[in-house]
Amino acid sequence: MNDPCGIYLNLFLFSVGGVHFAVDAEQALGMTPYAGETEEDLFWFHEELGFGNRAVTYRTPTIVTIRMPESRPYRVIIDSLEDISEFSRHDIRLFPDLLEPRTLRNGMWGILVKDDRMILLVDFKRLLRGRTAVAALGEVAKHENM
Amino acid sequence: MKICDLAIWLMHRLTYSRKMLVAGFFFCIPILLLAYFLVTNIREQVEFAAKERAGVRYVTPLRNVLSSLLDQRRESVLGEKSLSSGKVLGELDRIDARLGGELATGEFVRTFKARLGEIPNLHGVSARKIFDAHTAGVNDLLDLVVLVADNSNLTLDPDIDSYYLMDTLTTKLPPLADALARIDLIASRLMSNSSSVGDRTDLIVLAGQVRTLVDAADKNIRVACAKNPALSRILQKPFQEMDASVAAFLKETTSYSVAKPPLGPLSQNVMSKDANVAGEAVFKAVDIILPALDGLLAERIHTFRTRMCLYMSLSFLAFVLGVYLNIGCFLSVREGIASIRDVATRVANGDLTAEASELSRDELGEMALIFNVMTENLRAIIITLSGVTEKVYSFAGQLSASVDQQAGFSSQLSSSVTEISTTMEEFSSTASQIANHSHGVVDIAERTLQGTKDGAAGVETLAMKMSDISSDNEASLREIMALGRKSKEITRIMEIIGTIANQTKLIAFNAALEAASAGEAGKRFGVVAVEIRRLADSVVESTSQTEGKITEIMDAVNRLVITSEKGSNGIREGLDYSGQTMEMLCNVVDGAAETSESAKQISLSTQQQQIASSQVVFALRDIQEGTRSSSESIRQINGISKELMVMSGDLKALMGRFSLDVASNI
Repeated sequence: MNDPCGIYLNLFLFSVGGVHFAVDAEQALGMTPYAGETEEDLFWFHEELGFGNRAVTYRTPTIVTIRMPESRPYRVIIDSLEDISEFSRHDIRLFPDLLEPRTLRNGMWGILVKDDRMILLVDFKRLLRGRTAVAALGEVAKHENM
Repeated sequence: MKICDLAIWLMHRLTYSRKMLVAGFFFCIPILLLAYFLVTNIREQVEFAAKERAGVRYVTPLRNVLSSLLDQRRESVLGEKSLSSGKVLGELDRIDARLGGELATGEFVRTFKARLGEIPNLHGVSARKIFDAHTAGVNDLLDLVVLVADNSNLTLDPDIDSYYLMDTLTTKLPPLADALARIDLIASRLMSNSSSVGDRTDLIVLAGQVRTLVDAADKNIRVACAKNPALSRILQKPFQEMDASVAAFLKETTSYSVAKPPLGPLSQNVMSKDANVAGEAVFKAVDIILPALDGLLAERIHTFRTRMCLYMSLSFLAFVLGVYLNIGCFLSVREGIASIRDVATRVANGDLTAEASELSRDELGEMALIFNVMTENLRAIIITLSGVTEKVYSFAGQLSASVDQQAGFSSQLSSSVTEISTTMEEFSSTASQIANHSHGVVDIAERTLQGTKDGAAGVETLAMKMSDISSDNEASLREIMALGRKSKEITRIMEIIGTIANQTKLIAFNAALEAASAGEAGKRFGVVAVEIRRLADSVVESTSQTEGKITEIMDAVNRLVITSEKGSNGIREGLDYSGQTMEMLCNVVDGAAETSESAKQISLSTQQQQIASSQVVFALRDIQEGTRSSSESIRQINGISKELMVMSGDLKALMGRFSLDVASNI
């Protein structure tokens, strides 16, 4: 596909707990099957996105390695890989101004409709920055308490 | 009572005041009439005695006339100078003028006086004629005395003493005086030898008459004195003297009549003197009897008048007392009746506390006392009756309510009995049908017995077949279980294929990512990766479908195994049941035999039941009829109880009319 103006985005589609998500394919380095690993840099997608206490069943859990500029790895367990496709930026809708601050804090930045399904667009880097900030604040608080 | 019905009917139409007035009036009439007749009778007796007394008064001058006439006759016969009789005739005229009308003596007196008037004209006639003329006058005078006695009621005198005095005075003494005078004259003639042939005989006859008259007079006087002893003191001596003088005279006369004349002048004088003495004694007796008789008559009149006054006084007192007591009786009756009437009026108006206060001791008092007792008893009865009425009213209400409930129950009972009757009729009909069908049941039971025996043989055959089926089923089960194991192996293979496909797909995704990161250079590689990923998806999808089918096969195998196991179990149970069925069928055969026998007994019992149910139906019809009658009776009782309630209410209201409490009345 010829896209000299950068109109199209190559999105990686998956679903967790019955909710469909999409990530810019350029943010993923690779995918490996989840075999019960328990490393500290491995996170469950529903926990990162704030599904709350809702129990989520992963039928084919898959570890996605996120491309990060720092050396610190960042891996997220997702479920049900579906497709990798190009989508026009004109088909993407942003969240309303009232919801956008909260959705952005959870790493979701837009909505895409495909085959009458609503797909939430997730930015893993924004998620990682939010996670890093929270961790830093935790460290500061820990030092202050000490 | 028949006699008094008219009086009762009349008295029933009058008030008590008029009743007493009428009764008093008719009670006074006989008293007045009795008093009137009594007074009249007494007055008649007084007048009777008064007339007798008039006769006595009339006889007094006649005595003088007789005395004068006898003297005049003797003197005329003897040729002596006679005394004038004018004085005594004048007395006769006066008394005749006064009493002649009453005694009816006027004509006789005039005749007598005319005869006396002829005597002075007899001059030159013989002494005999002169004697006869005077004797005729004397006889007239004696007849006049008798006439006076008759007309003055002296001869009808009712008392013995006065009657005999009267008889002596009028019929004995005057003839005696005349006889003595005639004896004297005859004796004088005989002494003077101038007598006629019959003088001596006349003398004897006259002497006999004198004795007879004297004896009669003495007898009368004795009887009168015996009746009235008071007369003895007056009359006894004069009459004894009279008897003695007359006896002496008669003795002289008798001796003369026996002796031969002529006698000397001395004897003649003595005889004349004795005759004179006897005559005076006779007239003296007359003079004594006259006042005695008049006294008796006066006393009788006085007695009658006193008695009349006494009777009149007593009658008047009785009348006044009767009137007084009648008025008192009337007032007492009126007061008693008024008292009872007032009390009865109060009682009639319902005041049972009324009571008659003053009670007399007569029948009205007893009636008032009885009325008080009756009122008290009535009050007690009314009080009791009032209480009873209250209870009756309450009981009538309860009875009415109970009868209403009973009527409802009876209606329900009637309908229930009707339903039961209908049901029993149906039951009877059904029993008839059962009885009719019970014979068929017996046949069926016998056929059932035979069928059960056949069934037992069939079940034995079935058990053998079931055993064969069980063997076949176990073989099939083993084959199915082998198929299940193979299906599980296929599933494991399919899982391996799916894992490979997923890995392939993941590789394809990584390749796509690598291709995407390689830019234009990786586009072809990306296309290959996409195709591989699609191929892996197809494999995964096919694997999934295969797994689904295998899962379905496994499920079917599992169900088949379960079903086969159930079938095996069922077959085993069928075999067990076949055995049990055999045993049960044997029991059934025995039971069928008993059933057949029981069916016969049931048939017999059903027939008896049919008869019994028919009898029950008849009995239920009777009960239905009885229930209907009972319902009708209850309706009547209900009506009666309501009427009783109304009547008890009326009676209660009626009881309320009576005033029973003395304190509240005060």
